[in-house]
Amino acid sequence: MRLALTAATVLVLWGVAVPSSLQAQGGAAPAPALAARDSAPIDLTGYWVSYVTENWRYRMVTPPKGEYRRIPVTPAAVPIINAWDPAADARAGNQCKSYGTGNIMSVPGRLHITWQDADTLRIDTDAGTQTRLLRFRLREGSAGQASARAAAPGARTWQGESTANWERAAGGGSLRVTTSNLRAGYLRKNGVPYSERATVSENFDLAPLPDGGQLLLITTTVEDPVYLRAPYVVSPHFKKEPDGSKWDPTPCSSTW
Amino acid sequence: MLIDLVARRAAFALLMVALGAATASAQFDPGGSWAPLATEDVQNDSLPVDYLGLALTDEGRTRALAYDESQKSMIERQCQGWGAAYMVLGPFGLRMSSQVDPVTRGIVSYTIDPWEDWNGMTIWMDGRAHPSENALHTQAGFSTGRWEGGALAVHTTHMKAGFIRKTGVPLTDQATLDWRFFRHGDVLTVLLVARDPVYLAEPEIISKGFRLSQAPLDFRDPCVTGFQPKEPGDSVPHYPPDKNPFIDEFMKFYGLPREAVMGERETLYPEYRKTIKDSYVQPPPCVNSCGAAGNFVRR
Amino acid sequence: MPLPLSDPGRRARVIATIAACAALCTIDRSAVVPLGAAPQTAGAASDAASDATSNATSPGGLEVLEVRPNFFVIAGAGGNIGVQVGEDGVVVVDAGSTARASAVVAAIKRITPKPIRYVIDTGPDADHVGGNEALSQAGETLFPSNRIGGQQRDFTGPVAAILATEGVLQRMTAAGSTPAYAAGAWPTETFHYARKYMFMNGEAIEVLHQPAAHSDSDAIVFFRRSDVVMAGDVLDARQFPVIDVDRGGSIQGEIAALDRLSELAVPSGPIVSREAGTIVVPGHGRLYDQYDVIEYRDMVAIIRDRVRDLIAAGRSLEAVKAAGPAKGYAGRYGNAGGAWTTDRFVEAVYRSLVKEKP
Repeated sequence: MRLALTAATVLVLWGVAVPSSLQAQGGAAPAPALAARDSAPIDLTGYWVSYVTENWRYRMVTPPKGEYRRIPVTPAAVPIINAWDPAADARAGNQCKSYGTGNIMSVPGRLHITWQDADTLRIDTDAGTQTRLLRFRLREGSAGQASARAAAPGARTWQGESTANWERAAGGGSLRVTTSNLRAGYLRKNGVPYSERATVSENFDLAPLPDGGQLLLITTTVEDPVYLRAPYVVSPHFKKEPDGSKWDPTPCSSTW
Repeated sequence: MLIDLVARRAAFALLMVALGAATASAQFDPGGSWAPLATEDVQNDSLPVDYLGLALTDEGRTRALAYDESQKSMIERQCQGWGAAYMVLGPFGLRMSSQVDPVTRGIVSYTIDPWEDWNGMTIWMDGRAHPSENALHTQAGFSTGRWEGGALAVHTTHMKAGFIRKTGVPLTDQATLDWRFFRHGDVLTVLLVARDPVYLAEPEIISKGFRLSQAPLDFRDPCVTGFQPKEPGDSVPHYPPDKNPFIDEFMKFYGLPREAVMGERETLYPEYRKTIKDSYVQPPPCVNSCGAAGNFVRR
Repeated sequence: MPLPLSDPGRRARVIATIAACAALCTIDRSAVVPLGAAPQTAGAASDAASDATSNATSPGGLEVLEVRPNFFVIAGAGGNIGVQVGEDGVVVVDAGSTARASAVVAAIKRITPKPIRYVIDTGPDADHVGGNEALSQAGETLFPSNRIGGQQRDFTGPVAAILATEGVLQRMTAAGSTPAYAAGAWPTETFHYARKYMFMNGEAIEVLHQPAAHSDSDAIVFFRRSDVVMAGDVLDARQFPVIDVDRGGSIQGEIAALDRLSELAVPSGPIVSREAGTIVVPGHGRLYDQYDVIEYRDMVAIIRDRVRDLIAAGRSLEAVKAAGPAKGYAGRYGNAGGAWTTDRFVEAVYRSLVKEKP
C-alpha cells in the first residue's frame, strides 16, 4: 500500500515536471501561454554602448578598400570587394548597406532595447538610426502575431525578419535570434558583401562585470551560400549605461 | 494516518523530482575539442606598437613601448610561454575535459589542455578557496568556477607577470581574469574580462569563438629548452623611453590616430569617431595579404 | 493548497520553485560558492601553485605555507622565514622581527616538536635578525657538551647556533648600532668566504655569501634536496630591491645576486606545463620561481641601463630622478612614501654607478 502510494505520487509529479523541464530546455513543446516579456529569463532592456576592444580597425574607422582579412569569403565575393564604390552606394540610396543585421551590432554606437509589445523586443540603434524587431514565438491572438501578419510578405529590408526565442537555464538564459529575408548588405564598411540568401543567427548573453555593471555579448553568426565559404562568427559586446543621455542618432554613411 | 503517510511520501517524491529538474537545465557540457574561429583579433601576427582596443595607463604604455620582442630569444625565456589570457589571444583551439569525484560523481574540475607555449588551465568546481597572497604564482594561475545563468563563470588569480598582447603590452602579477563560457549549439564563446590595477585603465574585454570539432584537436609538442648555457653579461633587450623604433609603423601604414594606437581609454567608445571623422584619411586600397587570417602585413 | 495545474507555465514555475527549495535542502552547502564571491585567502588548494603552497594561518597573524613536505615558509613576522624540518631538528632561515619572535617560535612548534638547531641569517636587517635570540633560546644545540675535540665551544650555552656572514656580526655588534642587540642575538658562527655548507635532515644546505648586493653581508641559502632557495633581501617581491650603498650594497652586486638566483633555480622542464621547479623565497612577499626571478632581474637591469645612459649624458642625480627611469615599473614596485621610495632606489642605482666610473 505504502509502495503504491509512493509510486503514484512520484509518477504524478514526474508527469507534471518532465514536460515543464523539457520546455525549459527549449525542446519541442507548445508555445508558452505567457508573453515573452513576462517570461524573460534575462533583462536586455535599457541603453547599451559598444565597447570596441576587438576588430577596432574594421569598426571604428573605414578599413582600406579590398581588405577582407578574417572573413572567409568565397571567390565570388572578391571582385565585389575590389569594386566597392561608396559614392555609387550613396547615389543609389544604399548608404545603409553596412548597417544591416549582418553587421549592425559591430557598428560602434548605442542600442536602446525595449519591449514594443509583450512578444516583440525592439532594438533601436543610434548609429544609422536602425530598428530591429525581434518577434517571439507567437501566442495565438497576441499583438506580436498581429504585427507580424501585418508586415508585407516577402519584403526584404536591411534588418530582415527576426524570430526570437528564449533559451533558458537555471538562474538565467539567453536570447536566440534568427534573421532572414535580408537585403544584400556589407559585413564591413569597406564593402565585404553578404547576399540576400544570408541568414544571421545571434545569441544575446549577459555577464556581470567584476567591478559592477553589465556586459551584453552578442555572438553573431552569418551564413551565406553565395559569399561565405564558412560561417562568419563575431561577438561584439556592449556595456550597460544608466540612461540615454549619450544617445546620439546619426544617419547612415557609406564612407564613415 | 493515511494523509500523513501521503504527505511524507509526497515530500520524498518531490525531492526526487527536484533533483532531476535541477540537473536537467543547469549547465552544458564543455568537454571536447573546440576549433578556433579566427574572425576577430588574433595575436599570432600582431605588429609592434599596436595597442588598438586597449585602455592603458601611462605606466602600461611606457612599459609596452619599452618592450623589445628580442626578449623572447633570451636563453632563459625560451620556454616561458604565455599566461592564462592567451587562451583567447592565441591561435589554438581548446581541448576540454572534466574530472569527476569517484565517490560523489560530482565534477571536481574542468581541464583545458596545454598547447606548445601555453600551460593550460584547471578550473576547480568544488568550491575550494584561492590560495594565499603569498603563494606561488604560475603562468596558468589559479581558477575556480561555478555555473551561473547557464554559463560557466570562472575567476583566475595568482598569475605571473605576463602580457595582454603578444607585442609586449604587459600585465602585472596582480592582474585577475574573469571568464564566461557560453555554449550555443556547437559554438563556444569565451568571454574574458582582464583587470590590472597598474597597467589597464579599464578592463580589457576579449571574446573568442570556438566550434566543436568532430576530430580531436592534435596539439603540438610542448616547448623543450634546447640550449641552456648562460649568456655572457647581463643585458636585457629593451628600448629606452620614447625611442621605440616602431612607434609610428603601424600607425602610418593604416593611417590610424596616434591616441588609438597608443591605447587611450576614450578611443574605445563610439563618440571617439566624431573626434576623428574629419581628420581620418582612409588608407590606399589593400594590395597584400588582403584576405589573410591574421594581422599579417607583407611589406 | 492544491497546485494550480491548469496553466502549464504557472505549473512549471511552481514545480521549479518547490524543486529549488528541495534541492537547496539536500545539496552540500560547503560546495557552493556564492555568486560574485571575492576570492578567499585561507584554505588548502591543489593546483600547481597551491601544490607548492598549502597554507594555514596560525594564531598571531602569521601565515605558514607548506612549500615542500619538509619545508615551510612563515610570512608576516618581518622578513620571510624558512623552516626546514626533519629527524635532525629544525633549520630556520631568518628569524623575523623581535616583536613577532614568540609567535614564530609557537608557529614552529606547531609544525614540529623537534628543536631548532640552527638559525641562519641572510642579512643584518632587524626584520631578519630581530628574533635571533628568541629562536636560538627556544632551540637546542646539536652538541650539548661544550667541549668538542678538547676545545671550549659554545659560550652561549646549549642553545641553537646562529650562523651568518661575518658582516652580519659586525653590523650587529657595531657601537651605536640601531637597534642594539643583546649578545644572545649575535651570530655564533660566522664566515667571510664564499660558501658555507652543512648536511641536515637528509639534504645539503649551502649558505652562499653574495657580496655587495643589498648590503655587504648578504647570504643566499640553498636547500638542495628540498629545491628551495632562501634569497633574503636581494629579492623583495613587494618593491624595488633595497640597496644599502652606505653598507656596501650596489646595483651591480644586486644584479649579480639575481643572476645567481636565476642560475641556482631550475624551471619546470621539459614538462613546462607542470609548472614545478625550484622555489625561491624572497626576503619579503610572495613565493617565486625562476621565471619570476628573471622578470625581477630584467626589471632591475633595465632601470640600471636607463640610469647609466642618463649619467653618460651628463645628468645630475636630480635630473636623473626627474627623468623617471623607473617609469613603467614604479606602479608595481615603487613607493611614493615610506622607508624605501622609488627615488631612493634610483639614487642608490645612481650612486652605485657613479662610484663605479673610472
